[in-house]
Amino acid sequence: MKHILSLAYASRNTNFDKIIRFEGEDIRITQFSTGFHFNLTKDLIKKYDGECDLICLSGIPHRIHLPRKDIVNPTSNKLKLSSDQTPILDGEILEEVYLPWMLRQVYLKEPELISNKKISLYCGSQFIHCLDVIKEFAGDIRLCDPYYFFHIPTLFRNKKGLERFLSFSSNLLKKMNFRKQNIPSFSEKDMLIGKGLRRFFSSHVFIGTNSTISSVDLEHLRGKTLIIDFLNPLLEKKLKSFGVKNIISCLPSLKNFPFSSFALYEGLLQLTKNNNNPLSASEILSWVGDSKLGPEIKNFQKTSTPNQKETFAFIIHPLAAKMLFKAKSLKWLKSYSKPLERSVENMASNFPGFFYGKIKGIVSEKNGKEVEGIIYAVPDTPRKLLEADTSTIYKKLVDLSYKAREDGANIIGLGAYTKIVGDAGVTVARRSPIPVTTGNSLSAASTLWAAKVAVQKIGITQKVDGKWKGKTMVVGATGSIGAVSAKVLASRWEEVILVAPRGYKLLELKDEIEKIDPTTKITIATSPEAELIGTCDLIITTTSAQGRKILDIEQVKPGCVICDVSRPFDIQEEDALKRPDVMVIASGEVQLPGNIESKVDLGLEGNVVYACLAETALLALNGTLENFTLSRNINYKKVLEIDKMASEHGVRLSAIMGHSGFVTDQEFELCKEHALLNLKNWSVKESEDNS
Amino acid sequence: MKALLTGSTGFLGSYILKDLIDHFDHIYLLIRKQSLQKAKNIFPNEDKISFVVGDLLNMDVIEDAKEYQNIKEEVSSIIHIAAYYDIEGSLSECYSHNVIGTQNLLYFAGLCPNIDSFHYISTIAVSGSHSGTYYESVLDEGQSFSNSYAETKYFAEFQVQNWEFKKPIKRRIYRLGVIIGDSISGHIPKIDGPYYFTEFLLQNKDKKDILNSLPVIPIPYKKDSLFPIIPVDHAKYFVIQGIISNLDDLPLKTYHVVGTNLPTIDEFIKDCFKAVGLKPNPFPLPNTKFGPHVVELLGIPKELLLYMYSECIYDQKNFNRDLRGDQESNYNTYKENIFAPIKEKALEGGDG
Repeated sequence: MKHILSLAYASRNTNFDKIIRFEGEDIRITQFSTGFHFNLTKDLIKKYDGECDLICLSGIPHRIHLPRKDIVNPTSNKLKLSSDQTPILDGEILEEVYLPWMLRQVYLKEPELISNKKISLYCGSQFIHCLDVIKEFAGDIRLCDPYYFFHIPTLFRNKKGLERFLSFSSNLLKKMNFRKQNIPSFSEKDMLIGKGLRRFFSSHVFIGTNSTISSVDLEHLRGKTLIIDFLNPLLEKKLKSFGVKNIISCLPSLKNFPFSSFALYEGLLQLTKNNNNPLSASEILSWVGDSKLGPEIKNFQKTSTPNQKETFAFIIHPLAAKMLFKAKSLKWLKSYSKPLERSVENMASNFPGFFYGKIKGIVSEKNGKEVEGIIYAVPDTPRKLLEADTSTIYKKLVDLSYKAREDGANIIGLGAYTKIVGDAGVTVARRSPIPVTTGNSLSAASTLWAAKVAVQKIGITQKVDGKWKGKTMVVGATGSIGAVSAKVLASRWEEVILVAPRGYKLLELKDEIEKIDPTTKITIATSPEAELIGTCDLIITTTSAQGRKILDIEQVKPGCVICDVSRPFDIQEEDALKRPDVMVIASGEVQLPGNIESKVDLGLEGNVVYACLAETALLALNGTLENFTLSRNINYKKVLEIDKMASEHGVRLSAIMGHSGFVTDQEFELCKEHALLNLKNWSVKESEDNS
Repeated sequence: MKALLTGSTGFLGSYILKDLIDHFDHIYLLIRKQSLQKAKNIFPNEDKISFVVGDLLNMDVIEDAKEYQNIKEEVSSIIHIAAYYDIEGSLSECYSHNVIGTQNLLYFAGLCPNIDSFHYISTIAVSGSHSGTYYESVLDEGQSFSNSYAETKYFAEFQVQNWEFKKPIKRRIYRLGVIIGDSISGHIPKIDGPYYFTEFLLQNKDKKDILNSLPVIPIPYKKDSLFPIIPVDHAKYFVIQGIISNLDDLPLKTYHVVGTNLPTIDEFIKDCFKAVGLKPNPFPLPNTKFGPHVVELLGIPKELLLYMYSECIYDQKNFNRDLRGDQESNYNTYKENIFAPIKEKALEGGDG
């Protein structure tokens, strides 16, 4: 029987002696793991030299191919020269042909695991023949060779830099023995040393050889994906205990034989081929093609999918120039900020978007799924956003969406004015690698929630038999959000007045609503007449009047709630101030379910977030990763859908926003007092035309 | 029933063989060529044993092809006692004898069609740096090793535990304590373990005088560490119990074969002092980096230091249930006998 002696240089406890069947032939393999002991390995080679057909030496560093010269490790070299009779193989030929092909296979088979991810290599030179392949699918490559060889905490991000480094240090590398003590620990404590290592650890995918992985600290691999050249059961167990998410082993194990290495495979191929010439690349290629080998992908967290964290991203920006002075670097200027605001604002807008913070601990009430939010910020103020060339802003937003994907987010939301710029998200969504949403659907839904709560708080109208006893008006009823509001309100109010400029559309809408609830009285009008306004308890304005005045606030009934959904506002702030007995609200902010941990200053408190952020979070919670709301038109089906999602997952209204910030309970009380007073001598005025 | 025995020319091996003959129809002794004469001297003219020339370091263990075939067919038990027991041994030496030797024998055992049991003598040193209770059923506690002997015995035991046989066979592992002389005659053929120190004193009389002039003798050890010793004849008794027992419960069982009433290191050192005639008391030094230098001065190998501060307690549940029987291994009852030969030597030395 043919006999292979396999020496595993970098393992410690993987000895075996087995007969395996390979390509129809029985071969005895005796393996001893020598745990980085050079003398022991050399003694064993000397001892069994001539007693077996082949010696396979695995776990030693291979030749590094550089454009002009090769670097050979002295340890490998000495070991390979220590036998006189039996040939020694180290798997180098097989690995060079096979590994790039296999990495490509991994990419084709499981693209979501590695494609466009940040990929870190402990020692890029060991995979130098694969770097071109890796580059094709990697989002970013980090090669930690300077740290691996010389404990210098820096890294390279392309092959060229690495090659330059290797040829520069080749004379030194040729003298460095391969010892366990020389391999750095890669413990997360080392992160403190430098930025390079922090970047190295932040990757999603790590690529290393068996011998490296056996020697380094594995804590940083928790939840990450590891690509390893070959795996043995002991190492697999160890990796599993450290919580590695996926392990991709490039070399599949043979049937009934869990131990494999490139050296061993090469030995088996060499022994079973017909002639004694050394293996050639073409022979290996034809074998790889015939044997239908594929990578072994071991997914250890598949069972716990419900708890798997989904990540979403959200973009915010400073709402006023003075907020820029909250930045660390500008804090010292805060006391003199006023005159500097303009210039700082202009300057800031030249910078790209950046990572701002994280929101953690959003947990669905429906299924316990947890999501995490990454908040990015663009340094532009609203003025700058609206003034600037839309293409510059698009670029900033699209760049952030790429960054978000790199950071693991699967959907991105546009906050505040970023969703108003240009075509309201359509272009950004087209260019972004991940779905984009403006969050307007939930904004609309939450505004309706807010309107309801506001009416309750004013308390002038009462609910009888599940319906509000009073009138409500929707100005701009035929618009997308107006129609939704009208339909929602129709089933809850005694009488609904629909106002819109085009009469034929109003009639259509009226028919539709009557089908929903025939008991509701529907009045239609083409403009908000004084005699209609004066009787309403709730007015929702959702027009595209672009700031033109659409109703006279003086004519509104005391105690009425005006819910201004239009942006820019239909009701100007100075108008609203004229009537303390009328409550003008702008939107409802919502709170997220779970114990929110966030160090991000959004200008809001506790679990409270903007409704558009909540929509992004909800979509992530629900797994609806699509371009949910885009452009200025809101689909009423989407509003109903997000309303349903919100109540299922536990997103609730938490605060009502007026023109200038939160509306407090005291303000409601005050408004109610004024209203009750004014109602006594209130009479509906005639239309101005008639008077 | 036929058995293959390794390590029969060793101290424990020769003890075990004498009793083992009664329990087997025939015993093959695996003997290295250079030890053949020694073996023939120890066991002359015995019908029930035959000498097989071979070497555990060869991948095919037995030299002669015909003998190889015969024994392969015949043996039902393999008893593996042979080991390279040298606490100062190099890794290469320890590895080839303990790991490679065991693996080659396991491979041979896997080929034997009629084999039903594999008995392997391990050592409690496999507990390495572990502190706390070390259970018989557990091998890997994440311990580290200060000497190659313990480390390679650990690898070898791992091999025995995890070897894949084609059919389930009885695997018994005996982790023996530090072997000391015969509990009755005190006889010990080799200087190792606890005997390093007494031997050193016996050979350096002048140093003894210096030591005697000191108020105390500082030695790096921990006062209440237990010293896990076992007299060779007791070890033999327990191992034989395991080999002949026909309890058919588990395919793999491990036993901690150590005495039932162990002395502390303090007690043992005091008894040593008494035996060689040292008057001062020992003074326990804390575990510092100077420890190795002090023990070197006293002629003790550095690697023993780990035992001096051992906080390992050896669980003996399996041992008590299966092997112990009526046999007690109480330090107080045999310590006089153990130290008798040393006392004699010390007196001789004094005379000369």
